[in-house]
Amino acid sequence: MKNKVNSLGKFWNKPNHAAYLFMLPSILILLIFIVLPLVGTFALSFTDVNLFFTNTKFVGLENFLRFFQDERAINALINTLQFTLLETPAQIILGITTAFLLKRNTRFNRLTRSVYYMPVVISFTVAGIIWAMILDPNIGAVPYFLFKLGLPIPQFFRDPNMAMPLVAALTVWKNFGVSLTISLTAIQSIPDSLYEAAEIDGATKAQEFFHITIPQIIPTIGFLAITNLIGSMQVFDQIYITTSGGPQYATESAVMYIYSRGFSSPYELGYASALSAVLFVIIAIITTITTIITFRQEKKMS
Amino acid sequence: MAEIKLEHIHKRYENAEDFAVTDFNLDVKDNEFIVFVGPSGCGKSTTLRMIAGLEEITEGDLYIDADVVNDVAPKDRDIAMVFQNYALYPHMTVFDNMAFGLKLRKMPKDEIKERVNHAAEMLGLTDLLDRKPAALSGGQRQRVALGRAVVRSPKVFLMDEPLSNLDAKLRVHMRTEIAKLHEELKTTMIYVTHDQTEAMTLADRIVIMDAGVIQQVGTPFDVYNSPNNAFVASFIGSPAMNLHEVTYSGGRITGKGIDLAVSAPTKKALDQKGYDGQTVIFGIRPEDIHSEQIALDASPETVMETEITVAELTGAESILYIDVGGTEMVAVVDARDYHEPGQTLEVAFNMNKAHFFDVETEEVISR
Repeated sequence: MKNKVNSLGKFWNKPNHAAYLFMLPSILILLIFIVLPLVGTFALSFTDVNLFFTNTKFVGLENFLRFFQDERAINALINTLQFTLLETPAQIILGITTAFLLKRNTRFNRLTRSVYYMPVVISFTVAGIIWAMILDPNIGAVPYFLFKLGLPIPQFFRDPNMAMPLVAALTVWKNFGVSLTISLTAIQSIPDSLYEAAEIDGATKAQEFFHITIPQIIPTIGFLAITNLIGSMQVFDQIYITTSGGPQYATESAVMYIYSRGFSSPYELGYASALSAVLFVIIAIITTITTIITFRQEKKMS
Repeated sequence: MAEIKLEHIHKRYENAEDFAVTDFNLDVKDNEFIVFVGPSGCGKSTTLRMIAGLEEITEGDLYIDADVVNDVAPKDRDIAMVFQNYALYPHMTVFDNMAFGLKLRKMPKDEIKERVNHAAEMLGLTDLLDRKPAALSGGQRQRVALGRAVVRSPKVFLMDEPLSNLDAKLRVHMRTEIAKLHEELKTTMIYVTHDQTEAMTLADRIVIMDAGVIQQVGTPFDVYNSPNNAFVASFIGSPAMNLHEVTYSGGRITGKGIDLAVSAPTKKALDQKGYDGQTVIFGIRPEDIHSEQIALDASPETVMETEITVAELTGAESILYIDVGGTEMVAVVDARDYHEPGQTLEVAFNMNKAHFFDVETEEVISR
């Protein structure tokens, strides 16, 4: 009796078997919500399926060939890359620098960190609406003060040259608290005596930052780069809210275009799936390259 | 090559009520090896860090040579510091660790190379120059930390418990290395430790601190043989001096199980200072309690019967915990005689070496 209470039986008592049992819930979630949709998307990308699954037939590589002819798709991809190049480095650099400056746990620094983290907890939809209103050329607060000062009023989100940098800036503003918090833990784990030794060696604050802090947090920088790149390549909400991809598709991102292909008339789910597959491959390539670079840097440092 | 002068140095940390260091005065001579010693939290590291410029000085003046350097940045004080945890830059090779300070000072590459190689040779690091700190043993890391200070050829060498992360054997070895280094470099050195053996063996002069206040400054010989107060008496020397409250009256001291005649000079001093009939602290070092027959014969008036409670054989000597009529004492005796717990043992107190301290102030009365 006692044995039955304490064990699941001979088979499950083997260490490996029990381990799989404990992993089962996570594996199931991963299978159902990640692997299955992924495989499904790839499968659908070879068909001309629509949102209502009527008259579906296999079309081979037709969707992929269409992508190369689709100027709007290429444009969306370039926009996404542009956004990523603007957003990711800015967010990481700002996060690390701020963390370095606020690394000591003084009351002021704690407060400042919380303030910087606040936008993280609101949704992109809310952040987007707030900034769209603040910068609205007709009713916004910023244009109002510019007008009062007699300055020209830019079109902000309606200016094709300004829209994408603005969306990137909005994203950095909303999310760099995350980079700050993650790099802060890494920076705070560097022993103080290293900085003191550097101080006696004659290093300025900037030299301490580049010669002590940065080399010590390479793995963290790599992590931030990868998570950020993936997020940026999938940018959607803030653009959808602030510009809806305009003006003249100047800010339409890859995910937005995919969404518009699949979920608005003529509801080409097959083609949208093919575009998703392309985006997946591009993200995979970028992530792999970043991982390799990080790994090499890490090896050089330790 | 520098003299350091600390004048009424005080330190109070932010949000702290009490001073961590109070009225610290010291003149460090050129080339002198000074050791700050004391229990943890006594302010010795704080004082060192104030000299380094890593802590602000709350009050008082710090001179390096003729200049007040209170507000001079660490890098401009021409000092080098060795940290307890070595503080080596983990991502740099041994060479780069030592060269970092020189590079920042824009020294020509050839000279950097020459200096680092010279220091590496001196410390036996030549074969390790390409390694990273993670690939070094504790002792090797310690040498790199020393090397990083040596290459700078600073005016002052500061060391903050540099040996406390090493094992016992290596510690003794590195202690000798540091002594040699001081011989070779002829630089003013200030060394912080909580280990009184390190202090005794290395120092030209020892500064003993407790609760942020200097208790005594003196040569190892002085502080051992003529402690200023009961704290110094108990802190310096291992095993520690026996200290017991006794009543002094008419040339004899009496306490629980103790009844001894004091020496003639002591009697004179105690009588003169009005301690007749008063309680005093009686101090005697373990090695001044003898058990050899020759000592017993020499001063029969100080012989007492005791019982051994614990006997620790260290090799050449035995450390005996003895019960003197209800008072616990420690004696260090020759190990040629065999001792075991429960034995009775006749011991003679060398009253010429006894110390007497005031019971209130704990200041020395007579040495």
